Amino acid sequence: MPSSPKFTSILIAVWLLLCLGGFWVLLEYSNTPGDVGKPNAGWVIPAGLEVETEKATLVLFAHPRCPCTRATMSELERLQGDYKDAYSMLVVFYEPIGGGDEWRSTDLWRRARAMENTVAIADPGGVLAMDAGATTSGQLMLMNADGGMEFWGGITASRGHEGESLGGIALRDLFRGLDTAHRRTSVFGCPLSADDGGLECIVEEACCELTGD
Amino acid sequence: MFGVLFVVQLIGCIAAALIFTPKTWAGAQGSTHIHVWAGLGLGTLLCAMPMYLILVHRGQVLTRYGIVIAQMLYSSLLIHLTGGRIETHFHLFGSLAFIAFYRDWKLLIPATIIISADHLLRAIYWPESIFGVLSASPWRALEHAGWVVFEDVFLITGCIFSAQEMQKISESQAKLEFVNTETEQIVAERTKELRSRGEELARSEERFRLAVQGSQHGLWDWDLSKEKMYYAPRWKELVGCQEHEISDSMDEWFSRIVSEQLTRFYKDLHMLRNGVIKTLDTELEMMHADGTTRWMLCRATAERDEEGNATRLAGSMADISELKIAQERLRQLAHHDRLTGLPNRGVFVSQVDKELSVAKKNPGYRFAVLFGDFDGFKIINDSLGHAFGDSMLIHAGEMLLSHVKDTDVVSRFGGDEFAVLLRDVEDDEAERIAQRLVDSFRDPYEINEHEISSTLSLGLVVNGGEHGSADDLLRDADAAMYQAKNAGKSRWQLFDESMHQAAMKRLDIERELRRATASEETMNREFKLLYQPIVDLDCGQIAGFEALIRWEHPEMGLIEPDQFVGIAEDIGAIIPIGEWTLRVACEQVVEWRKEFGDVQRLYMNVNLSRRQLVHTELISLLEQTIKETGVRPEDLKLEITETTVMDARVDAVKIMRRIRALGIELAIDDFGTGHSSLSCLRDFPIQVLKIDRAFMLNMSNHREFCALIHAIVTLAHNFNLQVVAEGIEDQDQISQLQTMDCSYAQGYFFSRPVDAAAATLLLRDGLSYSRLAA
Repeated sequence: MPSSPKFTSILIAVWLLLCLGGFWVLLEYSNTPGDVGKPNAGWVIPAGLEVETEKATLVLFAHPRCPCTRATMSELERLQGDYKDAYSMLVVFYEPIGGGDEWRSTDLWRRARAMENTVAIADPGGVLAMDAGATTSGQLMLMNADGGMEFWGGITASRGHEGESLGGIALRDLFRGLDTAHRRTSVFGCPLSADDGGLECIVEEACCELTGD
Repeated sequence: MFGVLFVVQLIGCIAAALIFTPKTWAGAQGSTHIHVWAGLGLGTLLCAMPMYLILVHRGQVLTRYGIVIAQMLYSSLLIHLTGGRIETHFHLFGSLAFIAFYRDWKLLIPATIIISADHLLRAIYWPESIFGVLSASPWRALEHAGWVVFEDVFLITGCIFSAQEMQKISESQAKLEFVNTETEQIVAERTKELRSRGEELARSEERFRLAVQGSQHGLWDWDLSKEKMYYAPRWKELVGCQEHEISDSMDEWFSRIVSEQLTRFYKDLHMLRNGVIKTLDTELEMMHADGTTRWMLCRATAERDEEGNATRLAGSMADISELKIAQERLRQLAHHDRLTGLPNRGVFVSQVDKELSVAKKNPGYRFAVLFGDFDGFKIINDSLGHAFGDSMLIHAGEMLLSHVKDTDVVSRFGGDEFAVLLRDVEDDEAERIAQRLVDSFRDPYEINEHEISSTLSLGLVVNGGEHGSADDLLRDADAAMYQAKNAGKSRWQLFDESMHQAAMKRLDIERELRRATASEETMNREFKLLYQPIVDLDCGQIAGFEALIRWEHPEMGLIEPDQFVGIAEDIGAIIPIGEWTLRVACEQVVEWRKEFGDVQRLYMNVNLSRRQLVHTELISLLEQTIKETGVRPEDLKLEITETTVMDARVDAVKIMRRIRALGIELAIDDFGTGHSSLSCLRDFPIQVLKIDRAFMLNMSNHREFCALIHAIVTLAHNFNLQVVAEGIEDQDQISQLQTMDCSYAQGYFFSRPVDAAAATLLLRDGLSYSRLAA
């Protein structure tokens, strides 16, 4: 094995560059937000759900297996601890068509069920999310008691990282009755659907069934 | 340790990635999360460099810094992979502590720089990843850095203290090691010394054991305070007892000492115990278990306390019985004749000395000394062998003892010489005993079935204290015996003063001979050669001369050869005399040769004694003389008596042959007087026969002598020998010799021995005989 000081110095330099490069890629990944999507301002909470609509409703579109969304869930838990009476919450978990129970037994599902004033529902095929315009897991939508959309975005500063974020600050401000400058923030999470056009087909099929065409 | 830790951290990274972010999802499609690849790839990369440095540059500063960088980056990676969990941040502090293992505070500096740089950059660009807030205030960044510094301070202080402590420990250790090394050295040296001493002690003990074993000594040790005795197994063995048969009592020893010596031994021990003697060294006769007595050598020494009182006596005992027997044997050998067992000369002389003392103190007390030898003993010894001769001597000793009193002493001096000391003799008692002894050997007696006749000749000295010493007495007795032998043997002769005078004269001649032969100068001054012509009876001319020596003593006057040659032979002076004679005679014949040339036949006869004949240097002397004088070997004849040749027969014949090889002729002198005259003619390499003068003296009166001379001449001619008749005194003898065909003659009739000048005249003028013959 070569052991000359020159070789070792070069080796350390290359190694250091590679490490820094690796870290750079990681940071880049962590700080690159997902697709924010186009919010559907007219989206309404599906009927039949036991969501208290008398007060604001915070809707989370999440992928049940997205690791990044755990941070969002943690932030929500923290938020609920502070403002549990200020809003009710609906968690819409993406579920593939025919996904079955295994998609509903993830830690995110368990944590969602554990939260107060929270209703967790499955969204087979991601129809509801798509209807709302959410494309990235961790996407939050705050609707006031009147159904108007107050907030659209994520509450983590990067992928999987808990902590203060613009979204979090915005929600706290809103729950405290204050205005906020950050009503739209970036969302860091996994895509809620594969980008293969399959979702559109499913949605179209569902529409056809509804309209009888 | 660091290598293991890095591997563990690598596994930790991968595990963290797999636990927290195993997959990333896009709808129903899951794929491996980038964190897993990062944990695997980046983790491996971070692990690889420290491993390389540990393996290749172990212990180097570079390696330490590489490990520090990698470790801090590991912290970053883990924090990142776990989603920036607060708990994972402790890894960072752990890493600092981990680096502090090196106890090198300088390493904490780059670690802190890395943390600071990382946090500073994050604080600027990504504050929530550090502080959990979107915007970090400088104070918070400062606070954050302060905690890191807080830890660093302690760690650095700890490192410095630890390093100082290590330094102290190292110094103490170095000191300890130094002391330890010194101690080890001292211990090693002492151990070596002790081992060496131990080995020396072991060797010493082994030597002592072997010495004791070899010496066959039995050790004993008497503890005086307890009155207990230790007897070594060998001691018990020496007295013939088994181990259990001897108790620890001193009586075991005392009871075995023969009673006559017990008192002495008690005294010896008493003296040793009381310090009168330092060591005990005594011989004891002790009873052995088999009933015999054994001589023991007992040695002992005492151990004393500070006051000088003996506390122990210890020593050894050895069986010296055989030594005692050998000593007795030696004493016997030293004082007695080995063959006959009779006292030897030393004992005899001491006894005679005692008698002399007694006689000198007691006027009227007389004792006698007889000295004698056996006539013809040599013939018996030669003919019947030495063993028989020994038997005869033993018999003779017994015979002598049987005729004397018990108080008398019979001694053998050597060969066939015996001496008898007769104590306290009265009147003619000594003479009667002497006669009885001579008579006892006069008749033949039988030994080993051989009847032999060997008579005894004795010299007798009766003394009343007149002699000065035993040697004087013996000398006189010897002189008397010599007279007895001369008087016809088988008789005794009482010493008288004339014998003493003769002996004294002999002593004078001996002394003077030694003086005269001490140098060539004295020999040239005191000795001279006379030449008696040998005449050729056919032509009446001188054929040669016989050189005859004369001693002209400055005080005693002219001494004839028969007065000193025998003595010279006895004391060895004959050797220088013979050399001188040979050289002078050869020079003379060479001188005559020069004067008279080779026309005249001329040789020189020189007499050779027995001692000369057997002398080892004879041949080289002859060669040297021939070389130095230039004499022709054929002009030299050496005369040897028949008796001389017979005394050393074998050697003589060899020497005679070597003389002949030199070209020198040999003549038998005094032929007819010896024992084996005729055998001489056959065995000896001789060329000339000289008939003894005794034949010539009786030739005129006894016809049988004429016949005998005639027979000798005839026999000599048969052996091709020249014949010289000695002692010619008248014309009648010449006439008879001529009728017998005898060629040469010598005698007063022709000329008495004359000096060189007269001999020269004889050669020049011719003999009166020749004129008469003519």
